[in-house]
Amino acid sequence: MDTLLIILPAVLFGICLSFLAIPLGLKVIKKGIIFLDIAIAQMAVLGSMIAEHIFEGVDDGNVYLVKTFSVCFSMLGSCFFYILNKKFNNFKSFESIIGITYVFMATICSLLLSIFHASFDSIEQIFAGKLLFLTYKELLQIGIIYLILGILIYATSLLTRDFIFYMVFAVVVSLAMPIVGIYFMFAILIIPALLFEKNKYNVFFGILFSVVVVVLGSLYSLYKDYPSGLIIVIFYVLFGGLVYFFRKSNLLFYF
Amino acid sequence: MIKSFKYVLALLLIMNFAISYSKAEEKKINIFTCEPEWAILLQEIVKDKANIDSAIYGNQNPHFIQAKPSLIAKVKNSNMLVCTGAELEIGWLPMLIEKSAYKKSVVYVSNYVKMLDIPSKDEIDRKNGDVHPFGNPHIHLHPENIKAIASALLEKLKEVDSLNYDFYKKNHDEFIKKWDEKILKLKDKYKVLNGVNIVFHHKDFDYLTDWLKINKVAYLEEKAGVSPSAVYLRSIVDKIKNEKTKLIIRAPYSDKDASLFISNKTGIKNIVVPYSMDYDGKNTIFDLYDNILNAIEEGLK
Repeated sequence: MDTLLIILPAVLFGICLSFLAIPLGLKVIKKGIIFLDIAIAQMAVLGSMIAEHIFEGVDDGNVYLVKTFSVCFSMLGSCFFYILNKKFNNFKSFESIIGITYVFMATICSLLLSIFHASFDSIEQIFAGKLLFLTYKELLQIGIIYLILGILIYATSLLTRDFIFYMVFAVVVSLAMPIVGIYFMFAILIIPALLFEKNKYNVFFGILFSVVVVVLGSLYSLYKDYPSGLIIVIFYVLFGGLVYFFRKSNLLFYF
Repeated sequence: MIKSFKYVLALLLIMNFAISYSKAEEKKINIFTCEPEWAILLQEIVKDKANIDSAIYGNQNPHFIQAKPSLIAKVKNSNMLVCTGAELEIGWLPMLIEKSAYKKSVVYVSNYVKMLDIPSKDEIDRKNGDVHPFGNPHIHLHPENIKAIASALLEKLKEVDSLNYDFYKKNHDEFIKKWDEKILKLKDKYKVLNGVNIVFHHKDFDYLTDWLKINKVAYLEEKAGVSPSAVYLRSIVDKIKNEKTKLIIRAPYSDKDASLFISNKTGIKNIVVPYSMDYDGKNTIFDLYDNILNAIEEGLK
């Protein structure tokens, strides 16, 4: 029981994130801009790198300053994509521009790293995240913001407005990024949405699938003592493949 | 038949009590260390009276760690946490302690030794790379530090596990005696290293060079913890050549590119020297020093 408590915040966060990521992921798939999350995530990283440099030495509230700055930076980036999306009706060229922006951002990050001569905490967290180190305090803080966004998504039809979608997307991704890392973020947005895209109850099944994967992945990582975030990503891919296979072979008629 | 069954039952009950009693008596304390060198050192003092475990394995970089569920569980269940301190584990230890809600004693062993290169105020700036404001934290490679830390750990054990203190004290005294002999032996055996010119990748062997008076020609890292640029490496090639450098040394977790580059340009041999050892119950701190110095000696041949 004691050991189960260790992964509990991570599981809860995974479940919270599922509720927001699946509707956003479905929209991303529909728009055909699947690399948007990686580009936005990279912007969040760049934002926190710049913030860490600017606010260095400001001890109290430093963390919040860095977080706020990085969220704002991603929202700004998101604005940029929103405007571009209007200009480029052609999906292919828009997707290419997202890709180019990602590469550009990542390169700037590496360059800053060598200019500042420092090993930023955010750099190591880009890939693997720090899911297991999540505390209840952080969970609560992000949870409240996510709750508000959740109400916005489920209780109103605001998400159908492109601009709102881009802003919500930026906030969700840039807050989750330091915790779950870029691979997890990509998996939770894309895999459930891709699987159930055409289903009538796509949001419900997407969340169900995602929650099952998060819970099973966390338990398996606890049992085998592997880093949880990485195992969950692997489970997304494996279980996603399994569901796809069963559906193809007509074993699951409903989906 | 029934009678004999009764006897068997009674016997089983007695055995059961005996087992649970002996278990209660053997309740050991749990000690968790950040780096394996402290686990290896503690083993000399506590022997089998405590369970020891280490977060990092022998040749992993102590600056970073990947969080696993067991890591948090082990910290949660430990009675004593032993880490280097001096910001060596700044990237992960505070998070780990907060997450495990660990409130018991944490021993930062760097508090008990004389630190090398404590930077002045002007030097503490991120522009200078990963500068450790409390000095160089790679302290386990000076034998005097090992002695000071062994004594500090004994004092802490007195608080945490006073019942076994006498046992620990005896082991500690024996260890110090053996260690003193070892220091003399090593110092004599490796006299040849005195004044030898060696290039190091990072500052991780500074305490060793300080002890054996090895002459550090240069570090391959221009700024601590940051991969050197090609321009910088080119700029130190001539210096390394002119000073008749004998060897280029890096720890197992350091990137090999810089060493290979300099080695190619100057023809000087580059080697990997162990930095620490896995805590497995067999390795000792004596083995660690032997392995490191052997590797350097072999490299010089």
